[in-house]
Amino acid sequence: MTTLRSSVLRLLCWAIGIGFVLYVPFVLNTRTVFGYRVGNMVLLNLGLAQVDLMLISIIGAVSLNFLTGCAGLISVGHAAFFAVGAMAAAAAGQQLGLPFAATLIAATIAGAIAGVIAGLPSLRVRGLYFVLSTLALHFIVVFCFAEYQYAFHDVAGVTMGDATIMGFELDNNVKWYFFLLPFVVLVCVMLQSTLGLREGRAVLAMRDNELAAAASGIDVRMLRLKVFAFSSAIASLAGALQAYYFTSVSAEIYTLDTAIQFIAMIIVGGMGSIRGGIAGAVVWLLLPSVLVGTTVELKVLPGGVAQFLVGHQPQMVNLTFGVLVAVLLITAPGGLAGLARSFAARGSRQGSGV
Amino acid sequence: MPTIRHASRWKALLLSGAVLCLAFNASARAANFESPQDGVYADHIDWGMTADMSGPSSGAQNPWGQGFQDAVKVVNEKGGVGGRKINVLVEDTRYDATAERVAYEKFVSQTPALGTSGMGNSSAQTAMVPLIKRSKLPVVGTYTTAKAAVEPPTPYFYGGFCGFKEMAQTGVGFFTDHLALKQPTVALVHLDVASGKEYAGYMEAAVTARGGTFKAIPIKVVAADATPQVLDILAMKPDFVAIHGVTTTSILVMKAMLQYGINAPAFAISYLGTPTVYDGLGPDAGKNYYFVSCFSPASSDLKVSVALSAAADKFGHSALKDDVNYVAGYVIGNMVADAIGKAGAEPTREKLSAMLNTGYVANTGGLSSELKYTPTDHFGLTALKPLSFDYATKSFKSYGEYADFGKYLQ
Repeated sequence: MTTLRSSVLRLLCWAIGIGFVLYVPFVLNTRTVFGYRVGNMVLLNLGLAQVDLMLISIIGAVSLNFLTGCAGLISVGHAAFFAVGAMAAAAAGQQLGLPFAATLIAATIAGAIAGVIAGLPSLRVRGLYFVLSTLALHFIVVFCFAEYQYAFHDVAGVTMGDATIMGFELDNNVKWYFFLLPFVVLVCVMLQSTLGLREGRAVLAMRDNELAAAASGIDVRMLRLKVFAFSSAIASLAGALQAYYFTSVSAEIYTLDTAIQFIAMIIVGGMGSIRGGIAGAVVWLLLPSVLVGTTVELKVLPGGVAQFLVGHQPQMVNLTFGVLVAVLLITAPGGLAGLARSFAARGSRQGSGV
Repeated sequence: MPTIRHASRWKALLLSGAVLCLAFNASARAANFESPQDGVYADHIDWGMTADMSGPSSGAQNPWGQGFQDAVKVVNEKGGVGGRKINVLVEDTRYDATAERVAYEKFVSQTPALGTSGMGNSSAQTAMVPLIKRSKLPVVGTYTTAKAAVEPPTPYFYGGFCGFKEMAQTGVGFFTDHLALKQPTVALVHLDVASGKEYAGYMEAAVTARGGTFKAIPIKVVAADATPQVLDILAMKPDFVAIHGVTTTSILVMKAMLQYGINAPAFAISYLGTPTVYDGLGPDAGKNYYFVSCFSPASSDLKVSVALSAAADKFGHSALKDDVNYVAGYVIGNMVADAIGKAGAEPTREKLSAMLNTGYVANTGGLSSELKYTPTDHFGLTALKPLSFDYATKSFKSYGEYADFGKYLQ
């Protein structure tokens, strides 16, 4: 009876979750809930464009989490893989005239090749030296993109073609949302499933103890290259999607800051967990907007406080965001995923009466 | 007879009553006009403003934002526009194209605004041209103007800062004449970013048009030393030097030039004509440093900057009134208020754009060169003038009126 009840409850939760995910773009787009207009802060000062960009970032964050959190290969070159994807999409779409779907495949393949190249130093160097090699990769890729952009396109940016699949043009945020959502689900399910396979378990073993993994017959050198190729292929796919979403990209947007933000996302979300990558991207990209909305609402406060907030809004938002992230990391070193795990464990202990 | 006169008096009274009712109704309707999807309400108008306030170019864009907001505060204190206060919705975009796009979309429908200003990221502007055309939210008075957005003119996009092409032509023209050169030899130190490449292209065109010799010398944004660039300059022996970059670029290049005994004058882009740069340079290196600008720092013309100085003093920004970025923001803030007023008693995005597109000239009170839009030109400001800083009087000095340098523009 208890099992049946919990199954029904789980099914109900899934139904509500799916319903929410399917309905939320319409709410954010029309700013109405079942026909009733709702205030901006009721929707947490969030817009559909933010959610679309967050979906793209989730793809990037989970792929980095696979590389860094699951395989233990720390990389600051993730923005570079985004750039590779954008550059490949620009070359395939704009110069070769390939359709949108084909450019995404080209970007994924280009990303995999770039990943293998980026992973080569990992065969020789470890730790901080390897991090430095990914840093060098970042600057090399951005330099190549800039030169490619100046030589074949405009200094202001590379104009991307229309994102059209079988005559269906992705020309608004709602369409993009329903196009990106299956990608995110597919990538997350694929990465989660991979961790359950023999190869995935080998990746986790390599992270935990490389010598032991090698002793048990795992070819860690080859595995490292495979992980790099897999992760960077996914990141490049996200880069190509981002380029099409923006309709134009420039080498300048792939800064080291972007790469560090991806690392921050997986630290906040929880290293080594696909769910952590998702949670980290959600918090990192949406929380600042919620804070901005809150400071705007606080303008009704009396006199000096309101004036201070108006005059220092960006600084206050950055400060609050920084403090919240610091508090989170102190109280939950395992990130949001670790926090959720500890809550679940506590819940099950209480449920079993221990 | 008296009955007839009495009847006509009643008729006149009724007629004037009807006219009064109609007039009252019309004015009441105008005052109560609301268009929430355009950010227009009975008592206020929402207007968006995006700027880099905590990112890499916040040093320049923050003063711009302060100037913009101070101008709007003054307008609001005088009763607003058509009885409505302007409520500025500020978004810090940290010089990030993603944040710029999110902010624009926010002003389109999330917290609708009548228009938006700022958008000081040319890469983001280039990327957003299709979105701006589709969303029809006017961008009025930008901090920088991407070529892709104004050539050809994008409906709903109106620039608000001096252009790189005009900076190059004015600077090269002025120094060639000022130094009585026939074929100038010019070195440009520029950032190795897209805008630097663009500026180098314009500089090369301006120098070669005068039969001169040109060399572009790149420098990194994060450079801590300009010695390699100055050694290049030393080898070239240019008649004058041009600088594109950030505050530190100017300081590093000018100080290294002083160290190596290069006495050639240098002119920088408008964004680098700030008191911060001159303070950093000091009189020895600063005496050779000029800049070209379409905005006048307050001390360069005290007569036209009375209102600006009063606003800066009142809102605690006295230190910024000589910063061309602050002046630019102040001019654009006033222009936005004026444009809203001219869009009619019932302003909407469509009416505002239609008004700007049919031909609009802003009254900038002499704080800038002529700021106008036509159906074929959405750039806004074209004329510039050279300026420098007089350390003895601690004031900026201009080398003529804007009209004097129009001859250099092609």
